[in-house]
Amino acid sequence: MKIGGWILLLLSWGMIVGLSIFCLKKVFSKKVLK
Amino acid sequence: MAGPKIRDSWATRLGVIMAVAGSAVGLGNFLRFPAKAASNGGGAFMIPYLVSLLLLGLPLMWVEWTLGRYGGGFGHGTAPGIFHSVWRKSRFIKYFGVIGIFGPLVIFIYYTYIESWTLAYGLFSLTGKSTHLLDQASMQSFLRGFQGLEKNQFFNGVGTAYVFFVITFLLNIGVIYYGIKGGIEKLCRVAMPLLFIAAIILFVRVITLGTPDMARPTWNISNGFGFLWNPDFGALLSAKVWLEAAGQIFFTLSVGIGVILTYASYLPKGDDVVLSGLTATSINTAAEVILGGSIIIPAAFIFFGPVDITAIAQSGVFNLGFVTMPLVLNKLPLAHLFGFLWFFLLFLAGVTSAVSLGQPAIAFLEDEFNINRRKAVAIFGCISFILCQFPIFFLQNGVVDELDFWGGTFFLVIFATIEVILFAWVFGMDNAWGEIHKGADMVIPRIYKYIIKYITPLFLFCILGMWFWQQWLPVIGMKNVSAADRLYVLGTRLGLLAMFLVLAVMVNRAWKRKKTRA
Repeated sequence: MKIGGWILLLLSWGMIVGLSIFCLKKVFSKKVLK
Repeated sequence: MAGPKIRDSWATRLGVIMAVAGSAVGLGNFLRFPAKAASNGGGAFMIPYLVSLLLLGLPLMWVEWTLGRYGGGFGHGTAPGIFHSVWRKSRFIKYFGVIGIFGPLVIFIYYTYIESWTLAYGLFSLTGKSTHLLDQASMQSFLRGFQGLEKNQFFNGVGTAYVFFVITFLLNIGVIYYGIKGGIEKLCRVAMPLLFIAAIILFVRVITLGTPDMARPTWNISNGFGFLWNPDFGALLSAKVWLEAAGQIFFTLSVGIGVILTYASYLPKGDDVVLSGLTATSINTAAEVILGGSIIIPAAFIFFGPVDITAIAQSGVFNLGFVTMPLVLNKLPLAHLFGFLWFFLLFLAGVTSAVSLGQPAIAFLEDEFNINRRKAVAIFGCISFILCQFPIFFLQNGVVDELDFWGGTFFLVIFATIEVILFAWVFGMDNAWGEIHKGADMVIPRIYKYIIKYITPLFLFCILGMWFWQQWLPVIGMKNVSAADRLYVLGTRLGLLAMFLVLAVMVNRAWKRKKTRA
């Protein structure tokens, strides 16, 4: 894989994983768990 | 007027998020996305994909969650009632809402059949019926025999497929029968974690494949990912690539169908929709980009090489899922187990989506005709069972493609455009912004107020405009349909028109009935 491919893969995966962790952390936090 | 009926509701917040994510995570995440990305610029496809996610998918997700919760407060779980609650002065808006029942019903008709293939193939893998097939031609022949398109050494007709269809259909109806809390929520809370576990096992298996054939050192996992991710930035200049990315966002998030409206209508008025909508979106996107993008295309590259992979990526979703992937898995140790896991994964993705597609029609009967759930499910079951026969017996005549185009593509964009205009312009953006944030656990960046009002509708008009400009005449004139299939395609169109009209008449009757009672 070329360097450009790695950069796009890591950026996309990073953003998506980051967003998912942020959301799930908030959902599971006691403050907002209903 | 009869007193307000107590509607079903979600038991937990996680349950509704899992259900919406389950509706969104479907066969498209694991088959359609990698094929689209590979054929539209590779890694560069992620740029229009993420732009569409931010400007189209996410705003529409929030619009649908909010409209659904708002309409649910008035006892409406489907678009005709929800649209009417937003724009009471209009006598006609409820008829536009018919699309929100029509679309899911049309998709349910063919989706259940395809879902049943995944169940059948899972069992074929486990029992070894298909695991000895190692070349494209025999796997293709196996699929055609199973679909009843030819009689061969594997199958005598469509009988086996029909048995699996009946089992799958009953399973879907059974889940819907037990309601939101007792059926759909319980299913999704179990099925979604299982789906992720199955996908992660397959993901790990694929990324540890390395270089299986030392005689072909370039056919390795790194180059497999490279085929999907190496960017071709020139593709960004093509309008088609942007349209494909926007279409994929629609398809993957289940926005513009009407199912999120219905699911959100079972939320209490003060429940958050901002964080829940964002969480469902992120779960779906993770399943699609990380897991969906890392299984089929890299694995197929390793076993078929750089020349064949381009044709494979463009060979269509059915070929990818039911021919290419089983072939790849058959070449691995423990083929039975991995084959089963692949189809089990697709089956879970299918069943959580199929039940969501059935729910709007049930909710319509329950909410607008005061029919109890048992009766509503029985009516829906009988009618949809009859309608499901068409894709089964006329598969070779282009009926599924036709249903998919109208129910699963064209009306999605039309419906989403109506929703966002209604939300931002009729309801008013200030009211809408307040409604979105009722009970919200986080604040949406203010820029989205302008995105929802201006950018999203403009984006949708562009998609519609491009479609009308490029495809309207060929589609209406059936230019890409073979002469032998034209009669079947025309019949399907007339059938769909009749279905739409019946639903519109039902909406008319429901409102007249309510008026008389009032």
